[in-house]
Amino acid sequence: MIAELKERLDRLSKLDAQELKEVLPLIVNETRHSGIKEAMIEVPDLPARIMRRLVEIDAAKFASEAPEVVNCFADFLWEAAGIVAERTGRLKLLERFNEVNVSLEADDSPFACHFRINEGELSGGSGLWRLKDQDFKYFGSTSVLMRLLTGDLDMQRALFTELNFEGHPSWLLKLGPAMVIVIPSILRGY
Amino acid sequence: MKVDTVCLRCHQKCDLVADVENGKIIGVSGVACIKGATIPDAMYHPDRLMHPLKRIGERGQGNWARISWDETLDTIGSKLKDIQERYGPEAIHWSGGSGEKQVADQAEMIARRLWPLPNSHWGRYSCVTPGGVAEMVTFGDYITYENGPDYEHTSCLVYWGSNPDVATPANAQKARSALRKGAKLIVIDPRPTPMAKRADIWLKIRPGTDMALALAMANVIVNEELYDKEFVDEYCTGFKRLREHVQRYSPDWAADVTWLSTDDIVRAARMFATTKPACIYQRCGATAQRVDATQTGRAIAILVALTGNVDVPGGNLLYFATFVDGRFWHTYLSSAGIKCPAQIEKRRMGARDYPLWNRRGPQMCNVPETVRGMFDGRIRALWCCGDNLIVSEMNSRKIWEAMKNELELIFVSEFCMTPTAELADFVLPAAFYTEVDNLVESFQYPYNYVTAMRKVTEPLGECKDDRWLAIELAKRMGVDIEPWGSVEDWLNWRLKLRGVTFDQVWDMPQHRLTFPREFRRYEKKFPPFGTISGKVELYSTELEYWGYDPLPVYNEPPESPVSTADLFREFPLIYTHRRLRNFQHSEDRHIERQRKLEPEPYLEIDPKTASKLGIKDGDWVHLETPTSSKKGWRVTYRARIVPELLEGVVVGPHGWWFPERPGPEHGCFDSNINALLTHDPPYDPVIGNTQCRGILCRIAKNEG
Repeated sequence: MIAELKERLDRLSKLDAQELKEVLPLIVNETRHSGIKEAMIEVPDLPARIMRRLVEIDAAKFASEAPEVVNCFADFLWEAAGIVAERTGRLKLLERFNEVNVSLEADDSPFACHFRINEGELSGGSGLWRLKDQDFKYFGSTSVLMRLLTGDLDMQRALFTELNFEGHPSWLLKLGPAMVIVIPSILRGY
Repeated sequence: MKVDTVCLRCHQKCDLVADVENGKIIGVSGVACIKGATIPDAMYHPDRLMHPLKRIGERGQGNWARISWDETLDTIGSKLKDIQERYGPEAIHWSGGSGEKQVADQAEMIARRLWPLPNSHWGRYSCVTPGGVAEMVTFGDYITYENGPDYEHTSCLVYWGSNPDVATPANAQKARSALRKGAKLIVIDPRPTPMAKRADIWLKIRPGTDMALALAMANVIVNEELYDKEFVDEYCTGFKRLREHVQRYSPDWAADVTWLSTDDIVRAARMFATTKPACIYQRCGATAQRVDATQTGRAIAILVALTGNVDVPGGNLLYFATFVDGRFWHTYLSSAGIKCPAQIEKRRMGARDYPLWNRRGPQMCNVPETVRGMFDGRIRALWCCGDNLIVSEMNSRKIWEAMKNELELIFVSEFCMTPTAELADFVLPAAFYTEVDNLVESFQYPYNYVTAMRKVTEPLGECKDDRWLAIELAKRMGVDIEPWGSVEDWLNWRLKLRGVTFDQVWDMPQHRLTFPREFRRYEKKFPPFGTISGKVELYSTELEYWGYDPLPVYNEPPESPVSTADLFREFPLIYTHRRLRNFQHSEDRHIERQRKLEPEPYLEIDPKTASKLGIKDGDWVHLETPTSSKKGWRVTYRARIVPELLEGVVVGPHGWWFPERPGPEHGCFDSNINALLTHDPPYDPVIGNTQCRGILCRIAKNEG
């Protein structure tokens, strides 16, 4: 299974949007089938590779045309991230807060996801936190949010240009190390 | 019984003690001005609205029926829901003025997130925000706003187009304390304000040319090497480009443009740069209500940066940085923290055309575009929340027409009937701010606290808190109201980060959370400033990113003796506004004790102009602009001859109306400059506001 998965991922850069709509659910299923933990060891940059391809082919258009595929991917994304975080203990190094609930919402497509960091553990999925539970929200174009997650966004510049937020500004500072370094490194595999 | 409270009649937020007998406020002490003293007059005025009213017959006929709150909420709620479903949430517009102060602001925040409500505006969109945006892109913070200057400890104070004795009397008292200790005073104003008369240097500037003066002062400071080299080298970017840029703005050049002398410009620049510490206060005078407002704000902000008077005692304090612990006291930062859902946020009118404003400003829609939207069907419903929109906003006649004929639903929450309320479908009686629980922020040296303001008395009649109204309408619209099911929930949610409740803050000494404050935090912060480069941006990369001039470039006002010389021959005077000591904006014309102090709308005229036109003090005169004269529109004022006013300049009050004149208009077009102004271009490219002062006009004595 892992070999098949690797093969699909190798072809990722050649797939157009239509093909990706069919292949992305297969990748997610195969990964689950193989065991996400094992898959993420074998292909540690799996989530980042998918998001980078989505950005290349127009992530907003893709998410608008295939919202269920993107939701399925968002569920997988945070499940995988949580497993890697647990395995590597990377988030435990951050002692700046105990618990925070963060939403990410695209302003040009239905893409929305959320995560929680709680004492070094990471969990999340598709959709947004309800306002009563949300501490902070990043929003912007689908592409900007995906670049944020893969670490391909110049955060300092983006905060004044492409990336918006809702919530208390102090979270920007508190979340900085997680958003700029740890989560992208989990999703990129380094 | 004595009850502690806070005055919210203007932005100063003075501490007051209310004297209460039998559930009624019978007096207040601690007031700094007439507006505080008349709190009981406003609360118990016979014209105070007491019950919800529903229109009977055509809009503006003045026929009303009393209805219950339940019927009011059910009807408005279902109509709003219907409009949302048919046209989207952006078809509902919220308009707030200074009335009810923070309570109205909070009602908007609740509605923005719950309903949701992307299109809202306050009157401040054209006054404080252009300067604010200019400072945000320069410092990542506000700095010359009324909370910025450290008045009491300064050695040189610059009042740039502001009259603190009228606009901010509590701050004027602090400034006088510094002046008594020998601080220098520079006043830039065509009017002989009390501060101007005692100034070391009074620059009687031609209205609309403030940017020219600021750039020429920068020229002097840079070329004479009077700037703070250490601060500029360490904390600023773009100095070389600025130095090159200001070479074209010599004091000689600026003297011609501003009608000042070269010598005065140079003296002012030297005094400001060499007297340490120094601070500048500007508000609506130089950086508001004009098409160059934002870039003028930039030019003035650059002067603060060049001289290193940044967040130092006696200088200009960084509003967010200095008071950061206090300023970020609540769960979501006031207006900027609460947003609509992302895709709806984008639908705010003007968000696309003015993207920087939409990001750096306080989430307001563009008003000219919104008024156009009232005519082309993009706006269908309007909630005026303590806002006498027709009187206080320019383009009054057009707004009147839209409200009368175009909108499907209008509801107004107010203290008394106004021309705007006269055109509503529902008029809702608002609770006065002494009748509601509230959390009031005061961040300005020496204050740095949030006060729990417990209602002093129960609301009169059926008056209701506007925040309650926003929540109750959300319930009727069937949306998720969590976590704000009540005003109490809202107040406690705002304190969530602090781990206390409203009741607990009320029980604290002086009912307040007090926060530490600290100068020069940027020395310990990384990055030091909240800009793209992390430094003070003399050359703004953020403006450049969005396609605006990264350095301020002077242009003549759209109408002026220079840019439209032919028009100037026909309209040989320049109009500008002034604040009134007895009123906050368009409010309170019905309060007798306030009205007595300035009972009529006076137009200030210099003696030479008056003499040329045969006008005597006390005559009724009328005023026309080039645009209004084509339509036969004019406004009338009582002439007040003012010695020492800059020749050729006339100065009127803004937002005048006459509650005593017949409805529905109540004289709202008679003596209000907004009745002559339009929302037509040109616009400030960053903010999108129009030129409503520094405009050409002519006046004549009324015949008969």
